[in-house]
Amino acid sequence: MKLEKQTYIPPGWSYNPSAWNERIPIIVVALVGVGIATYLTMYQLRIFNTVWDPFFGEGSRKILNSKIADLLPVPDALLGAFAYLIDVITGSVGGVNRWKTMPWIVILFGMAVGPLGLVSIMLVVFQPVLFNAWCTLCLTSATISVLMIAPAIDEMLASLQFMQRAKRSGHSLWKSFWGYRNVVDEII
Amino acid sequence: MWAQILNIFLGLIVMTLPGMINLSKIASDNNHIAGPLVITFAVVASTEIGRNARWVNVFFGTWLILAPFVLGFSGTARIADILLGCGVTLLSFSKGKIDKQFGGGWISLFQKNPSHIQAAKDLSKDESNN
Repeated sequence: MKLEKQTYIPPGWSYNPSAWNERIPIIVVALVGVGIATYLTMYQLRIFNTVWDPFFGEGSRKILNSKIADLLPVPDALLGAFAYLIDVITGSVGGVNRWKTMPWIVILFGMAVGPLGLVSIMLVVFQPVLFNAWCTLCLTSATISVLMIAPAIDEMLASLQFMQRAKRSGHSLWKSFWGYRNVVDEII
Repeated sequence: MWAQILNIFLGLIVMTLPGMINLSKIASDNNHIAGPLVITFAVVASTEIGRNARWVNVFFGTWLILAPFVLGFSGTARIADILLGCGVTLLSFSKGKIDKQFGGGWISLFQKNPSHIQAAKDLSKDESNN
């Protein structure tokens, strides 16, 4: 009992999803994503004149200069880099009990990882269907996004369950979402 | 878990099939879309917290079986997609081992008396006894 409190394992769980050994791998992978997306942005902005692609050669150039890539005023890889950066930040903020002290950041983290994963899959689908080409680093980035989904959402589940317990005990969802002290102290 | 990892490989075959053999435009578009989706849900389902994502692949596996008839393509593409679809569907039914506990999982959010609330009650009882 004492031990469970110290390790901040949510009730009914066998481990703490907010522990650093659960979060550090996601943060590291997201950092790799920032690196790849930044590199692709630099090519799209022509800071680099060539792009590295050991497998598909012309494919990367075709995709990174496509209509979809130029749909927005900024290169699409820049959006990716920004999204990964949000993953890194929201993954790092808060201590090992953040599933209950900061549900808002945990849920923001889950939202950042989930939709980002979906956008990545959509881009993978667009590559061959619309342009008949593949791009090694784009595929790597998509793989990273997909790998992060499951490890990130377990923490979100712990936060949602905490909010459910708070609500059932008569607290407001709003206050439990922002981690008000009186809710955090009273609800296990 | 192993069933889902096998499904990742099946999804990879679905996705890369148009590059290996000559397929019609509609057949290769279908494989290019279905493959990454199967892979995505198989990756999520290979973790214990995401195991239920395998049910989405029951849907995509079934689609792969039906696609040749709905979209009208034949030959090698038809046979390959039916076989791959059968594999994906069957493997998606495998639940595998779940060792971790998640306070009742995602379904708990919609339950009247989920296990995490039970566990919290037991914990506070222990606390007042001490």
